[in-house]
Amino acid sequence: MFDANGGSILTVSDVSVHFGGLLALDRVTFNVARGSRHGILGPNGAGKTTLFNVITGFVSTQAGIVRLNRNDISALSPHRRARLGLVRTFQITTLFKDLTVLENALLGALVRLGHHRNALRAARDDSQAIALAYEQLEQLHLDHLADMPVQQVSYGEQRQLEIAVSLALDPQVLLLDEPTAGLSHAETHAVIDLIRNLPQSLTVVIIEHDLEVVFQLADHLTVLHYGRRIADGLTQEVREDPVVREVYLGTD
Amino acid sequence: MRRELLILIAAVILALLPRFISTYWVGLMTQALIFGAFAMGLDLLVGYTGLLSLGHAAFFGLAGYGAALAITRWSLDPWLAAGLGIGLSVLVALAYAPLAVRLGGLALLTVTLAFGQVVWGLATRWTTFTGGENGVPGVSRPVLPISSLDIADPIIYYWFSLFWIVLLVFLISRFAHSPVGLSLLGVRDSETRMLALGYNVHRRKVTAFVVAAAVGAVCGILSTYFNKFVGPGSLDWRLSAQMLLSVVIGGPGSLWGPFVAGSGLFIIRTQLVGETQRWVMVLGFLYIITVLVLPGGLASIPVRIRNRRISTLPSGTFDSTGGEGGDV
Repeated sequence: MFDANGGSILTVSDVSVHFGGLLALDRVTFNVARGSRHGILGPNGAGKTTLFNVITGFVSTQAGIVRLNRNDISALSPHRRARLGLVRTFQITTLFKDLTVLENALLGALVRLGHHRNALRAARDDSQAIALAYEQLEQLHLDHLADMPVQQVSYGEQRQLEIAVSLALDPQVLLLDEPTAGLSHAETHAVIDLIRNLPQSLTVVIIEHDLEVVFQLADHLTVLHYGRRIADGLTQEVREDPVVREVYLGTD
Repeated sequence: MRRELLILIAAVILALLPRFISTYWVGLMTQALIFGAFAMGLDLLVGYTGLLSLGHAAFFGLAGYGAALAITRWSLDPWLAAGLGIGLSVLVALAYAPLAVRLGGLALLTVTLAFGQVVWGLATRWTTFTGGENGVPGVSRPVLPISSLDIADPIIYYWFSLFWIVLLVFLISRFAHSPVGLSLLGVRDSETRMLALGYNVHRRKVTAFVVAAAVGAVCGILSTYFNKFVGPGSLDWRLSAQMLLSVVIGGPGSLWGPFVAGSGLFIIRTQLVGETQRWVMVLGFLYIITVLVLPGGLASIPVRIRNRRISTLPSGTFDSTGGEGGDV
């Protein structure tokens, strides 16, 4: 196991969530080390997305604490957590479909620059924000689509745009919820490369149920099963863990 | 720049209009422009933010009543009274919006309607103060700083209104294309994504609600001073409905479409239908026609014509051709 506190940017302690009678998360605890690539693994219904929702504030904790840089953020609303640098993507593509690709990135860039409260100056005249949004699109090779409405770009490009929009905020921790869901083989590799090329200073937490993807990307793994943590540690260790092999990878 | 130039050109044409039309039509145009601006303000809430309101006449009427009562009961200067009326309206909107915008869709439609009816009920039942069904007559217009201009003259009042409406349109346009305006489109498209980007979605909705109310309040003042009277009609839910339908018929999110529809519907109402029950039927009929034949409203007509010429047309606010995101 790794250092429990000193190098942790995000800690989740004893978090439980009930939906009616269903225990979606059962006293889940884990730490995310600063700068790590941390995978959350588990079969469908294991509580991975619920865990993301709890970390980012879209679902409130019924028990337990979420800390960012050792500060308790459990009571903060989602937008406050985003401002603190905890930025997520969604399993189901969540973008502004009627806006252009550039405008999508721009909404992120405006927050980063603190220009999002400006009510009288035209957004398109904010050259600083436009440049930042463009830069983000270029980094992900989406700049040629800048003036296209999002609903006209391909699904694979939309998945990448979600990451671009999130990066425009300059997050401390980027939480990716199945970034390769529904992508073709080639598109999956493009996204993997993209994630690999993210700056090392950025901490990335990634939900995946594609083992190939997760083993390629993650240095740490937390494995969930029916809302409970069944394994946690370095990817190499967790891969060899007999409980994980039995429950998740199959026993053959 | 292009938008501002278009507003200026439209303003100059409208300013020259009284040379070519009768005094009766000058009066009609004054009111038409007032309702156009009202609908345009409501578009920020309905078209931009995606929130429906059937109660924004309340803010139109509240400002009018506030000013009219201040002038007639307390002999306040009409300039000050206007500020008081608008202030009252905005304060009420600030108090009500945080509760209302927690709801969406039909629920929001219902609570805004209920709110409008409460204000209307107050105006009609509190007879001793508000004059009940008779309203408040004898409202004097403000004295213009240039003594040679007599505001009692219909053309002068038309110009007076036009001045404020052009200012409103300019500010609305500025606001709509600002980062805050863009964020309202974001809220309409995906509240979840906006939250994940760090936007306080609730506050953005309140902002849109209050800005639309403030625009309505200014229009309510202009209307009250035009009529030298304010009555329960200015608070009627049918006025709210007419404004909401102006947005739909004009093309939500286009700003200029609702302005044109807001003005046009007023003229249709006075010229073809009169203030009878038939008006609601005509309004409903126009609404159905729009939904069936022209789903994007009036604002989609130029886009449709262009689309016929160019097959694939990228649209969006930053695209020079305009489109859904809206030009003015």
